[in-house]
Amino acid sequence: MSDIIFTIYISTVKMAIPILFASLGGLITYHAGIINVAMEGLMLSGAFAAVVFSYMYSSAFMGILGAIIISVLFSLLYSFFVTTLKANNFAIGFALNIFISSLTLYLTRIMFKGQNVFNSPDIKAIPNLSFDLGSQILNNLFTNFSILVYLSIILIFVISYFTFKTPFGLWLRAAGSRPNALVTAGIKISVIQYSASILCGILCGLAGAQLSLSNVVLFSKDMSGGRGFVALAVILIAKGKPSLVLAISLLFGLFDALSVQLQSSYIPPQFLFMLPYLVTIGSLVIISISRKRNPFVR
Amino acid sequence: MFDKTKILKSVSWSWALFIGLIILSWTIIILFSGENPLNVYYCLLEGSVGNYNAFFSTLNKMFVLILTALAVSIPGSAGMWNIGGEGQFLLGGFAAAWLAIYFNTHLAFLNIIIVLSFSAAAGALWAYWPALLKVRLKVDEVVTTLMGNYVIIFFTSYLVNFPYRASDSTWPRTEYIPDNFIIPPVNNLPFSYTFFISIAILIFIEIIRKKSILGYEYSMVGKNELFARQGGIEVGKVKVRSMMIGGALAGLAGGLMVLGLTYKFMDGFSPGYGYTGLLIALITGNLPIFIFGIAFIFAALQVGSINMQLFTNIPAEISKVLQSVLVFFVTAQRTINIKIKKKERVDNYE
Repeated sequence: MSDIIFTIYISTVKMAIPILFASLGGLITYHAGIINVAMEGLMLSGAFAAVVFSYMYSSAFMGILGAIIISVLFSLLYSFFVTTLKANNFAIGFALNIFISSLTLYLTRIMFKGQNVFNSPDIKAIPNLSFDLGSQILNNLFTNFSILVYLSIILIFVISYFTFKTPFGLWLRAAGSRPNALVTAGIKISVIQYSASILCGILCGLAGAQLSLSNVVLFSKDMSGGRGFVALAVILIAKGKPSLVLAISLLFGLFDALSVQLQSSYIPPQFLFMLPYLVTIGSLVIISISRKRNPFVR
Repeated sequence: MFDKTKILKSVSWSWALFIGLIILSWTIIILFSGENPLNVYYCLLEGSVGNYNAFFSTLNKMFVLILTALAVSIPGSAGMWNIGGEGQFLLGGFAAAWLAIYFNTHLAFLNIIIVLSFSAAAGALWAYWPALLKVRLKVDEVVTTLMGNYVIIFFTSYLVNFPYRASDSTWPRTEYIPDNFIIPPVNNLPFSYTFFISIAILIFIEIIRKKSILGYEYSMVGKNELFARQGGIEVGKVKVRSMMIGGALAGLAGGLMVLGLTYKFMDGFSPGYGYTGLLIALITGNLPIFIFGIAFIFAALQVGSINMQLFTNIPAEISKVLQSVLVFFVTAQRTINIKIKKKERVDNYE
C-alpha cells in the first residue's frame, strides 16, 4: 500500500512540474497584462525541440537549451502580434497553438519517418539529481528527481521576489494594472511586455523539456494535452500569486498522476483520463463560487 | 488631401505583397520536406479543384467547416469564446449515430429531421453549462470549453470502445446506421445534400444578423456590453443563447457527418474539425459572409493534401500548418489596416 502511495507521490511531482513551470511563465505575462493562451503551444514546441536537440547532439543539456530557444522564438512571435500589432491575444494564441500542434506533427513525420511518435535510444534524458539527506525516508521523498524539479522550486522564490520586490517587477505589474502610470514614468510598455514574454518563453520551454525528456523520453503528437490551459486555470485561480501556484499545480499534478496510476480492470481508462480536466473545471467553479460569496477574500 | 490613383496603387501593391508573403512562407515550410514546391502546389491544386471529382469532394468537405466556423463566430459576435466546437461536434455525431441505430420511424424524411435535431440539441446542451458558468459565476469560458473537449473526446471514446461497439469491428466504432437515415449523394457525385443544408444555414444566419433585431442585439452585446445593458438587453441571456446556438451548429455538423459521410460513429471521428472551424472564424472575424470563401480554401487544402500525400512524401498534416500560417497573415494584415485607417482619419482631421 505504501508503495502505491509512494509511486503516486513521485508521479504527482513529475506531472506537476510542467504545469508549475508554465504557470510561472504565464504568471509573468499575466502581471504584464496579457492573458497568455499560447502556453499550450509554447510548451509543445519546447517538448519537440528538447527531443530533437537532445537526439541530434546526444546531450540533455542541448535538449533543454533547444527547448528554451524555440519556445522563446514562438513567444516573441506571439508578442509581436499581441504587443506590436495589437491583435486579439485569444485569436492569435489559438492560431499559434494549432500552428505548433500541426507543425510538430508534420516535422515528426518528415524528419523521423515515424507515425505520431518519435523515440530513439539516442535521445538523452535529463539526469536525476541524487544526494544524501541523512535518512532513508528523506532521501526517498526529496532526492532523485530531475534537475528541473529543483530548478522550478528555486524559480518560485526568484520569480516571487522579482515580481514583488524589484523595480522591474513594479513596472511589470504596472504594465498590467496601470499602463498610463508607466507611460507617464517614461517607460515603454512594449519593452516590458516583450521582456515578460521572453521570460514566459523560457519557462514554457523548460516545461516542455520536463515533459519530453524526463517524464517520458519521447515526443508524441499533442503531448502537452491541454496542460497549457490547466496552467492558465492555475493562474486564474491563484490570481497571480506565486506561492499559491505551487500548491495548485501539485493538486492538478496529483490528479494527472492518479489518472495514470489508478488504471485497473474495474474502471474504463477513459474515465480516468478525464479526471485532470474535470478537476480543472471543478476547481475553477468552486473558486468562483467562494469569490462570489465573499468578494473581500482574494 | 488624397490622390485616388496613388491609394489604389498602394492597395494593390499591399495585396500582392500580402499574397506573396503567404506563398513564400508556405514554400519555406514545404522545403523542410525536401520536395519540389512547384510539384507540391500542383498536387494540391490537382487534388482539390483539378477535375470534377476532386472539386465536388472539396465542396463535400465544406459543410463541416462552415458549421464549425459558425459555431465559433456566432458566440464570438456576442463576445463569447466557444472553443468547445470539437466536443460539441463529437457529441452531436455520437448522438446521431446512437439515435439512428436504436430508433426508426421508417420515414426517411422524418428520421433525418429527428436525428439532426437531436444532435443539435446534444451540441447545444454541451455549450450550455460553460455559458451559464461564465454568466453567473464569471468562470472563464475559454478554459472550461477547452477542458470540456478533452472530457468529450474520452467519453465518446469510452462509448464506442465499450457499450456501443459493433461486435464485428477491428477499429472501435458503432454499427452502421440504417439506410433510411442516410442523406444521399447528389447524382452519384462524391458530394451529398449536406452541402446545401450548410449553405442554407449560412444564408439564414446572415439574413438574421443583418435584418433582424436579434442580430442587432447580439452585435451590440459583443461590441459594447455596458451600452447593451443600458439599452435594456438582458446581456446574460443573449450570451448563453449565442453559445447554445453555436453548440447546436457544431452538434449539427457532427450529425450531418454521420448521416451524410461516415454512416457510423468511430474513435477518432474528428481530426480536429472544431479547431479548424475556430481558425476559419478567426480569419473571417465573426463575419459569416466570408466563411464560405475561407471554408472553400481550407477544404481545398485538406482534400488536396490527401492527393499530395499519395504522390510526394509529405504527410497530409501539412494542410493544417498552411491553414494556420494563413491565419497569422490575415490577422496581421487586418490589424495593420485598422492602424492605417485610424492614422488616415487623424490626418484628414488635421
